[in-house]
Amino acid sequence: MSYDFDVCVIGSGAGGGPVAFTLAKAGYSVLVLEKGPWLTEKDFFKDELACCRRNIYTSNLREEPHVVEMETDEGGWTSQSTYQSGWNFWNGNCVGGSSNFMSGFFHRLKPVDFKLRTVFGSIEGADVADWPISYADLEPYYDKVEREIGVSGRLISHPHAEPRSRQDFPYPPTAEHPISKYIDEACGQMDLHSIPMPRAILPYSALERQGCSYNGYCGSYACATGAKGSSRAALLDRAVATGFCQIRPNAMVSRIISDQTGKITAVEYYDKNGQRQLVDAKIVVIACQAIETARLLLNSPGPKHQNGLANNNHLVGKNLLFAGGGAGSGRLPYAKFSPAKAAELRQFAGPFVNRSIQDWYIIDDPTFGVRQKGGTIDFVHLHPNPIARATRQIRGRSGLLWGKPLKEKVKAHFLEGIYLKIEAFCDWLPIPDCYVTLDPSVKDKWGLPVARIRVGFHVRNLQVGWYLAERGAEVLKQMGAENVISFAAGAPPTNLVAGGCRFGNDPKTSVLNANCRAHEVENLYITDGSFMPTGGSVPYTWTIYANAFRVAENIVEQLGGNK
Amino acid sequence: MNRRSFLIQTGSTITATSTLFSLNIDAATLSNLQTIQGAWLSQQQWQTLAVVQEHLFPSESDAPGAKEIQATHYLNVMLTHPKSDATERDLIKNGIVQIDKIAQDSYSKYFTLLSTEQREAVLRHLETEKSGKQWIRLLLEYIFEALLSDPIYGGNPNGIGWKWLAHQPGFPAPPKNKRYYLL
Ligand SMILES: Cc1cc2nc3c(=O)[nH]c(=O)nc-3n(C[C@H](O)[C@H](O)[C@H](O)COP(=O)(O)OP(=O)(O)OC[C@H]3O[C@@H](n4cnc5c(N)ncnc54)[C@H](O)[C@@H]3O)c2cc1C
Ligand code: SF4
Repeated sequence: MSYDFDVCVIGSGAGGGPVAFTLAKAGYSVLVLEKGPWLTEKDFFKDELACCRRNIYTSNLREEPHVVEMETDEGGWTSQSTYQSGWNFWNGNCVGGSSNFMSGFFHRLKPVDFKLRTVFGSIEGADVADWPISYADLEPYYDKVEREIGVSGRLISHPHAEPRSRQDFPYPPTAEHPISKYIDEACGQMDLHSIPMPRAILPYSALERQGCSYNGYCGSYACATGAKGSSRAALLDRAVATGFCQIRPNAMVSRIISDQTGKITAVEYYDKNGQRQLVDAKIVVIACQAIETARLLLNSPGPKHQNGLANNNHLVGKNLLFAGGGAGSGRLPYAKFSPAKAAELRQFAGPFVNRSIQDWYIIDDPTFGVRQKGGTIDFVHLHPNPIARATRQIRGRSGLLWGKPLKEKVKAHFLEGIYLKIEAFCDWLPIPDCYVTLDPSVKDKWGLPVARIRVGFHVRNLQVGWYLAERGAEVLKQMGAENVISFAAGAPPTNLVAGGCRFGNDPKTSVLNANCRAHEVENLYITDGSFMPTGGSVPYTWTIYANAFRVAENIVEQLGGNK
Repeated sequence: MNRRSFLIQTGSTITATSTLFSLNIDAATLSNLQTIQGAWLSQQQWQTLAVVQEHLFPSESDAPGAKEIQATHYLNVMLTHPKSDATERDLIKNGIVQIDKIAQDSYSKYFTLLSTEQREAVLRHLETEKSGKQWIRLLLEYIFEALLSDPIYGGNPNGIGWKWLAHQPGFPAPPKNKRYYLL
């Protein structure tokens, strides 16, 4: 039998890029189907309206909403379309996906993250599971990401440092703002380890991409230099250059068609003109980001898959994860410091902060409870978007502020000090009340049922989130910050999502096998963050990239090795 | 060059005053607005809107206000560009109607003719209703957009808002042909 392509990859972000790249380099024909347009460096500008206030890089919420179910105070559930709430669960819909817009704060998982159940036991109300692979299995691919995507950083030793196969990062750290050294000082005084945070950003030109221009608007904005390690800039451009990879933008995959044996026979999509198209491939790889991947499977029933593809055990969409926990901020008022230091702090926030602490990656604090999984605290610049920052000042103590009092507040916010933010990541627990199903009535513009997302959370997330955020806040205070706040939130950060099709050795409790192939479908792989049974206490993208490289090598092997 | 900048550069803008309304935007701006947007607001409604914006974001000797950042012009651009939608125009318009109604009910005068204290009272009154509060918030958000968005959108002339707040925008800046509603 002849196929249109050896491999069809659905979704071109961090999960899809490594597969397209690896397979094309091995000489196999690859088709990438991406629902969004194909934009490149020359299309990207720093426009807060375009990126962040009118959201032109994500699907239109009127035409393609999600429905979100939230817990009410009474313990029931209430649902709302994101078109009504404006709460956007799309993160970037164009070639390269959300990886175009990420900040590139990069962390590996640690050996303990692969066996949380074994190390810490079960947690009531959560479904914590060990991974079917170990850190050692993934380490070579973390290493590969450093080289292929381009990860910059500087190694220091600290109690929770994960083992590495190579001495140091292939690229030295990106340029840093003077504020970083004050974080180092404060951490030193507090006996904490101030870790230079690795970034998926090139400090200088390499890998046929330009180095970072430190333009000030990085996270949420696509990169005009190519320095940011998006799937597009780092992988897809090179995949296309091999001659074996074709990218079809504006191709919305609507259904995956399977036969009597349960195998996939074709992929159905709508092209730019709204025409229905079919394509087939020996192997199909889905990487639409966790929520849309689950939705596509659920929208694809077949003779052997009555409940949706690979869903005979009703596990697709379950145990959705988000990377979040706590946050906080503080302001270093210029007036409080010597003129020289104030002048340093006032410097343009183009260069980065690049600092994390992981001293509480495991919390062994009797005042807090039994020894348990903690997390990571990142120090970052306040997001620079000026309209968003000004708009946040509108809310006063009683009612709206306007007129001169509002102007005074805005002026003080921008001119009297530099803000430093903390983002704390706990291990977001997998629970029965965080999952994706299909909405029974709401459809998108193609008439396809939209994803209905229940976003419950485990109270442990809040406890650990508070704990970590408070530790971060102590560092801010030590630095001389004022107006220090820290808090935890149960609401999920919509841009950091994983889970929904966990991998495991037992087909009764997992959707994918250890190689991320569907237990029930021999020619289906899933390579975005969906496979993760637990998320580690960090943002996921380095792990998504690494795992996708690992799975890609498996696929090459299954197809018969390098051509 | 558009008509407005032509008029400004040739010094032919005139500030019209009339006995009926205290005009807060100049007549040239007004006629320009009305030709662009096909008069979705009446002349008097434009004046009310401009006065509300100036009340919410007043000019100061050392800081730009709604006038300097061209908040009225900016709002019109946002509500009349090719991808704008009529429901938002209606929303803005309804708020203006509300404002004038409260002004009439309380003081038997147009909003534009009220004292600063009276204007404040009318807006605080409007704020007590949920929809009124949303309307004021929307206007404030558009004001901040006019203050801090890229000048290609019609506000923040010469980066006046960025300068006031010592904000250095990211680069590369968007060119005019990449305004989001043209993409
Ligand atoms: C503002 C922002 C900041 C971030 N910062 C960080 C960070 O600092 N560190 C970090 O680790 N992570 C960060 N992330 C997260 C990171 O971007 C994601 O983890 C990563 O991109 C996920 O990869 P993915 O392949 O699952 O999804 P994506 O990269 O989003 O790719 C999925 C692609 O699939 C396409 N698609 C979906 N459905 C279909 C369909 N039916 N047919 C065809 N195509 C489809 C989508 O359009 C999209 O292009 C950030 C994200 C955002 C938005
Ligand atoms: S700051 Fe550097 S990595 Fe970030 S968008 Fe700008 S050039 Fe790209």
